[in-house]
Amino acid sequence: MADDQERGRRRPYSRNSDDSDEGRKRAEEPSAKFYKCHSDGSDPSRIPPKASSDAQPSSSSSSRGRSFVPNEPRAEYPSTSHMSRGPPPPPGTSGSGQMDAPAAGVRPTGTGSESGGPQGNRRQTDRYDIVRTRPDDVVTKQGKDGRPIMLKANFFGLKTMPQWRIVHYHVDISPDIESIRLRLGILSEHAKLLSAGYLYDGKQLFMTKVLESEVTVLKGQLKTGGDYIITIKFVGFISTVEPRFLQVLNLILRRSMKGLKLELVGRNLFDPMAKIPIHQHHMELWPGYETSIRQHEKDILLCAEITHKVMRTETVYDILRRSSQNPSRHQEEFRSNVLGLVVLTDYNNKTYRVNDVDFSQTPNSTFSCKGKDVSFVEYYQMKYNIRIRDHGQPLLISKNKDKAQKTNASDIVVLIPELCRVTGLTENMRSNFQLMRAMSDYTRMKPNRRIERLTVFNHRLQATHESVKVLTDWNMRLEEKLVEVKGRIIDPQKIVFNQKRKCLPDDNADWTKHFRDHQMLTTPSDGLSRWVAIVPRRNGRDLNTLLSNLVRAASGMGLRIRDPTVLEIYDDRTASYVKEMNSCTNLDPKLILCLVPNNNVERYSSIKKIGCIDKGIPTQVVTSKTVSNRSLMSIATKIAVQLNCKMGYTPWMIELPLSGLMTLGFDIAKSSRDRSKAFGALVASMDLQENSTYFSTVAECSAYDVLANHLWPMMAKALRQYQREHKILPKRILFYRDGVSAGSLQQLFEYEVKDIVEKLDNEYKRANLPPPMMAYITVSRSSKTRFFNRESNPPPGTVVDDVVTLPERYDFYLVSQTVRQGTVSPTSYNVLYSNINLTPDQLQKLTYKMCHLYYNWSGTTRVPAVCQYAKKLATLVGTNLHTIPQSALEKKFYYL
Amino acid sequence: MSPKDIVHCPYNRAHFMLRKKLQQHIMKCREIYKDEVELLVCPFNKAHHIPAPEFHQHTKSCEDRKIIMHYQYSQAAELNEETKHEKIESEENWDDTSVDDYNPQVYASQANIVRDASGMFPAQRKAFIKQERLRQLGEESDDVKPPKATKTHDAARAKPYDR
Repeated sequence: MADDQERGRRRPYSRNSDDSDEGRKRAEEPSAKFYKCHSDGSDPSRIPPKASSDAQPSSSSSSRGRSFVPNEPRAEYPSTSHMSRGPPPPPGTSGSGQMDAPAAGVRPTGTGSESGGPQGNRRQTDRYDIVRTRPDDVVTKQGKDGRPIMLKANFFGLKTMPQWRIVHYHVDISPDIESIRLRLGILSEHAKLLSAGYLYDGKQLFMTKVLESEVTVLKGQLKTGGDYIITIKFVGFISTVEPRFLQVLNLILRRSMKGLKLELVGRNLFDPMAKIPIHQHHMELWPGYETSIRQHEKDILLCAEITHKVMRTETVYDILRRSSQNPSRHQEEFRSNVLGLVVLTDYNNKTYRVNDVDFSQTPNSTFSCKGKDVSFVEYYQMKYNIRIRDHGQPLLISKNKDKAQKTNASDIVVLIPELCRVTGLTENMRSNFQLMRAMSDYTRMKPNRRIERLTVFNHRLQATHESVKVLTDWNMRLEEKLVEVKGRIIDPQKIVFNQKRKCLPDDNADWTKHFRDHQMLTTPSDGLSRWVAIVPRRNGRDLNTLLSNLVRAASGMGLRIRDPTVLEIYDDRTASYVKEMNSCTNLDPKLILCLVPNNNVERYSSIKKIGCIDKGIPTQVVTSKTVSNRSLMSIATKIAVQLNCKMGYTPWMIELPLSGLMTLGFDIAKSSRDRSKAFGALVASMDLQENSTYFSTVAECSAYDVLANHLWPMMAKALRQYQREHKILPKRILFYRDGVSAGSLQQLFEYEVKDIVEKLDNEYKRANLPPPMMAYITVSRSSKTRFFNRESNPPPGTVVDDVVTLPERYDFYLVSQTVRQGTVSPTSYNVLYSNINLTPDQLQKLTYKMCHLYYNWSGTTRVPAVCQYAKKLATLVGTNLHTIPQSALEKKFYYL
Repeated sequence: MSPKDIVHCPYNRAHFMLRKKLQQHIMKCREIYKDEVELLVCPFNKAHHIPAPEFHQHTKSCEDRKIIMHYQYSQAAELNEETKHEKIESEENWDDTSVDDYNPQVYASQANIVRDASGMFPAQRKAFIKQERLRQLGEESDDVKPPKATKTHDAARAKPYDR
């Protein structure tokens, strides 16, 4: 956190994990200079903080508990530290005597013992080559259960890396030169003095050689005339044990990847030579690489992932031309098409949001630049050597948000439509099935294809001359083969249906077929009675077909569906549905089914609003298109399960070996109506052994805050409900937190976890109970890690908790879902806090079990069901309801 | 950009920032000003830091009070006994498991790894890195002085290195 705050003032190394030059180039703001010629655009301290926080993907691995157990383990070997560069003495030898067991009373792991030798080589001096076996009673994060499986991961090891300390210099050039390219050029003239393969990002200089003196002053002449003075100041050594070392390694890699003629777009390097044009949709796919070198469980590894960038070949100028066809409405139409678009300008590789269009100006208009009046045409010719073709086009206005806070708020950027490339996919494109399929042909790669691409990347990097040179200059060599890692497959979990009948899912972790001969776990005793169906008169037959299928499907699953009260409406206007819904309340229906002709969002929202907010009655919306579907019977099965859930009953369960457990899931979704608002949803399981129901609650929160401000009030509600049902508070609490990025883990711990732990303690004290056992686990779907089982995907239930995990976390990867196309992406779980007293095996297994309980899908899900529910609920409220639903529904799955 | 998006830090009026930065800013300022400014945290919204005299008033008028009010005044869901089912017996029983939870810091503090120093104040970070060097590289590596630094310092300035 401090790091973020300090970023503005302290430049030293927060930025350089991104590639140096480009990182700076982005800061250079061409257009900000239009209105204020002495723009501070390239003042390093003015870089939008976002850029630098993005640039630090590795800063995320904030330690759990570092601040919670203050200065805990560092000073443990005062006497042995000077000699023990190898693994410290194992528990039981002299070293452990001085060891303070940290607060939780955890015993130290025999570190490095099972890791074997090789990675130890990277520290240059001698180390103790002692083979140790780990004592059994030592606490580790690696589990033992399950069937072992050898997997490959998208990581490469480093054979060698710089062994010496890297020297860090600060370079000042006076008079001050803004352009980074120029700065690089100036320093390169003195390359002889510097060691081979120096790294310079415009301010900081990294070298392997130590210069003779602390301050070196160089003189030279600019080609354009004028003298300059370079001052190279010594800053410090970077040893191989500090985070900056990793940043330098990343810099080296980036530099060497440049040898492959890759281009930086945003944060990652893409290969324009290998672009895949999709002409009919006016776009290109640029294949690229996301790479990061960071410290993993034992070794420093390079994570490489193949990505694709969608580049639209269209410029804003093309949109302008298209909208010109209707001259009377031309301006208005162009405005409505363009406002809010994010555009990319190729000349400086920056993105802007278009806030306004200025039709009164053209590229021939002038602005004041360095005291002179320059036209845009001249400016672009002079600065970027770009010729603007159409001198009659209007100009785009973009308000630069991040800068607005430092300078006055009227800091705006002017852009030329011709030079602005449109980015991202429009809603229209997204719903274009053919386009999406054309894309997914390339972007969804099968595991074998992905392995091949990664190997080719590695090979290119080690064969291209320029790349190799950078790497050898720094004594860095990559392993050719992907890292191998041992995973375990958790046994398939039994699904429990009515009358204690249990069955096993198939190999794809799917149990749809078992619905044929099993009944749902709990169903209402008098079935679905007293319910209403609203249908437009012309869809009356559709309703009958649907009902007959529903009744048939449901009776097989043990749910009796009685005939509903059918209310016919004469048209399909939203108002007609609303009127009938309001008038049917006197029947006190348990559920309202609406058959609608199409999926019109406005109508759907209105129906849901009345159901969830005004009446507190669950609603089910079915489109008539579904009814005409050929596989109506299987859809009817799904709808029947949903109906059962919406009344608060449970279709199936898993075996839960823990009593008194409450599982919670939390997620946030932004409001579609008000950009400043978001909705956080919390879903809690009440009891998964005897009364398998769930409780849910929603709160409105601010879209600007990453961390949840209302977590405790919501959690308190869930606890109250648990107490109401069980007359006692839960013994164990398992909290899955979704919707938070890996970068804010430290803050998350400080802000949410500490608060919850403290308040839970108070709450339990008031109830005269010992504090609960709790685990707080963050769930991340967006991890770049991939696992390959030979040439295919690992089966569901695969757990990896070694090698590619992070040493400062209690984390594991779990593949719980099956995918039909492409490569499966494992979900990363990070146990941020835990006193739940379970073994890693149990925690992993419990998490896997929780992935079986999402009742909209008779298979496993990517994340624990409570998270999936929370996400679903938050999205429903954020996009359709915009208000908090009635409390009367909180025990039902009205949001399914 | 509307001025509404710029907010002030409750700990120091001189600190102003974009609304989205407020949350992390407050976390830091709360730490820095913990001895000087004492603000109470609103029970309804953790982002509200209120001076003690205004606290009572705030708890009455806080806009997030509705989270609790909505809960208190609306009818709670009826308990449905029908959803109960026979206890699902599990092959395993973990109720009596009581093992110590893994603490990654213990491993991290002993292994030959590069430890992360983010989230610390600058001074803490410096001390941390120093300690890490001492732990993994031994004492002799801990000199941060450049060679001949003290001697050549003045000379270098007097006589610029000539190309």
